[in-house]
Amino acid sequence: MRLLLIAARKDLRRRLADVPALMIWFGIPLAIGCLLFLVSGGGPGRAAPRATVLLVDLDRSFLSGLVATGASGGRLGEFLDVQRVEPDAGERRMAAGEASALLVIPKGFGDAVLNETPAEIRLVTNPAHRIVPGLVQEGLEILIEGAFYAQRVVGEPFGASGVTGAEAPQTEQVAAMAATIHERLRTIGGVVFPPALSVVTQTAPAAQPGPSVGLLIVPGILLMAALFVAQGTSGDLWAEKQAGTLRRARALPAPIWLFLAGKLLAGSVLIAGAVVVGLVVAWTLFDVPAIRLSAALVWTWCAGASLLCYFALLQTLAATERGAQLTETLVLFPLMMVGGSLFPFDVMPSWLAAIGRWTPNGLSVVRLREILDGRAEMVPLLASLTAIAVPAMVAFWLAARRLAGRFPVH
Amino acid sequence: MNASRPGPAIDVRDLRKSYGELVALDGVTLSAEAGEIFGLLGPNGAGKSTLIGCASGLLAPSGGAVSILGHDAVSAGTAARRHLGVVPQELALYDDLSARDNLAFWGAAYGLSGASLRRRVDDVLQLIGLGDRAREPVKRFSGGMKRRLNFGCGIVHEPQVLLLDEPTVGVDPQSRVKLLELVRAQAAAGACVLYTTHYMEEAQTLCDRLMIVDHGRVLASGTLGQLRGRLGEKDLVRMTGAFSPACAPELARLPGAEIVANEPAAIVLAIPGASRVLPAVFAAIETCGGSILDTTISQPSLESLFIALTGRELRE
Repeated sequence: MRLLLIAARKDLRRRLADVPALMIWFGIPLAIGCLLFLVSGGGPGRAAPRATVLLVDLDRSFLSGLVATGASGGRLGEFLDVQRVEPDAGERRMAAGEASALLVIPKGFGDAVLNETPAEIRLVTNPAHRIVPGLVQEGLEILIEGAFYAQRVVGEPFGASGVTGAEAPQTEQVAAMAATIHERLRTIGGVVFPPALSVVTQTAPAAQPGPSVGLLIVPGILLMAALFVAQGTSGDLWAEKQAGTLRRARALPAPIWLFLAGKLLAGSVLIAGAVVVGLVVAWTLFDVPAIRLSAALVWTWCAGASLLCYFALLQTLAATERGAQLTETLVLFPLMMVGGSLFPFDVMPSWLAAIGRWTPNGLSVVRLREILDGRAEMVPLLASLTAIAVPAMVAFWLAARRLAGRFPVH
Repeated sequence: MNASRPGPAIDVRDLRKSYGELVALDGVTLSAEAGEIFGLLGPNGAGKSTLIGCASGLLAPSGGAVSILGHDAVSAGTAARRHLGVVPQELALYDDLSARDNLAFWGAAYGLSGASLRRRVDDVLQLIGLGDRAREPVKRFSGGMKRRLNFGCGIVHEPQVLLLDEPTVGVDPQSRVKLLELVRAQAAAGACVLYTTHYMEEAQTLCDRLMIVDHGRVLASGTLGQLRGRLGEKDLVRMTGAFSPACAPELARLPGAEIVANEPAAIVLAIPGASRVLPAVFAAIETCGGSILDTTISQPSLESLFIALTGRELRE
């Protein structure tokens, strides 16, 4: 067993001295992860889209003010950012595409509401924005409908009290209006608010906040780093064959599988290093609990070690170094693309994601994501570990047999 | 370093190795003792490296047996390899590590550790003349320095049996002299050295005993004196030109003459006192209607023995 540790130490020294290779193994996944994070918007969860609505109030009355307040307050206010502007500024900003809609309340709007005469509110929408202007239009229609019913209930008292839409009412006028409105509501209360009907309000359970885009990407990126290290480490078998050191190692008084195991141990240490860096980033940016990080490290280390075994077998099966490189490239990139490393499964077509989840790295990505999300369960985790480890051990055994045979000699 | 057990350090019995139809070794038998340098001489493709491969456990023999200090190389391979040091024909070094790291790795792989490993690495570095370059990456070394380090990696664990597969191929004269000194030193320290080469001079100056092999078969074996004796006192006369079938019988009639090779364009003749009887040789050729373009006379040597045994020069 001593040879295992000696070989691992030797390979670690060689790998750490090869800075360009380390840059590729660690840097490319990191760069791709950053790009994916930036392209997808990143951050924990995604804020609901808010529409900028420009409001031109030509009436400047008490009632037009109520419309503006209604549009920017309550639930509607969660979607709309209402900004009062002058007519010219409104037109100019709409032309520049800076807002989703322009709402123009015409002069005389307050009087028209109180006198039940037709009034027109003009809504100009931005054709480049597909969903948000629709929200504005629907919200405005609800507001107008509310204004209609309010007008039926309070319009006459307003008119009788001598209040105009252009100015705020006096205290006496408000008192008179309040008494009349109260009497009307009491009269229609039996119809509008029948006591037989009661509204039971149930608060829906708060939806679980979805995982952040970053945490969707991290598992795939970690496995991508593992794939790169596995490819590079296994490729070193051919380098040792060409250097003659593999042949010399075959003449050692120890089985060659220990030499191979040492090489894979060195590779798995490098994978662990890459994973630690990735997990520290995840911990810093996404506030993942430390216990999950530890589990994620162990899981990814196991998954990475299995990938090392698969790639070692690919290398030893090839007849030439060029053939080995070609085979690994043909395997590596489809695995990265389908196995959730380049693109999260969530953005793949369902049939492709279903295939990808059963690739060696894909299965690892799925479980790693569960670990980071805190959704991992022991039984599926152990089942997946078995599904990964058993074929990997077979691959290791076959690779060691190849090394003990003709691979290092011919 | 001396083997405590009696008997040969290397014992090869009727060793055979074939790759399909190709026979690489055909019943080779040899044995060598501790402190002895045993040379395997033969052209490229003669089977020398195959023999080294079988002895070091890299190749499984098709038949016969190899034992190292009494341990069968196949059935007790691990025990046999524990006593072996191998210096392969091709360099077997980690270019990205230093000379010290290379020696330390191979020494540790053979079981050395701690202070004994460090001491032995220092000793070998001095021995191979790389003490002042010990921490440099090997990729900066010259070819000769790499060859010396390659040798050092084979002896760092002080093996009792040393297999050297053409260790001086492509080496500058200065490094070659140094390497040959190192080999002698190992033998003087008690190691049994099996040394393959196709350089006649090396074999003549270095080896205590020699075996000439070609096409996987043993052509001759013994000390240098014994091998020279195979030729007697005969010189070798090599003639090129155009020769009729009657030429060889005509030449064979000369006193003490022996036809070594007979081809339409070349005849090789072993004959005592060649320079003295050369006019008679030319007369015989003229009698049989042949014509001579070039004549070479050589004294009895390994080269002439090889030609006498195979009818061709070693470099062919």
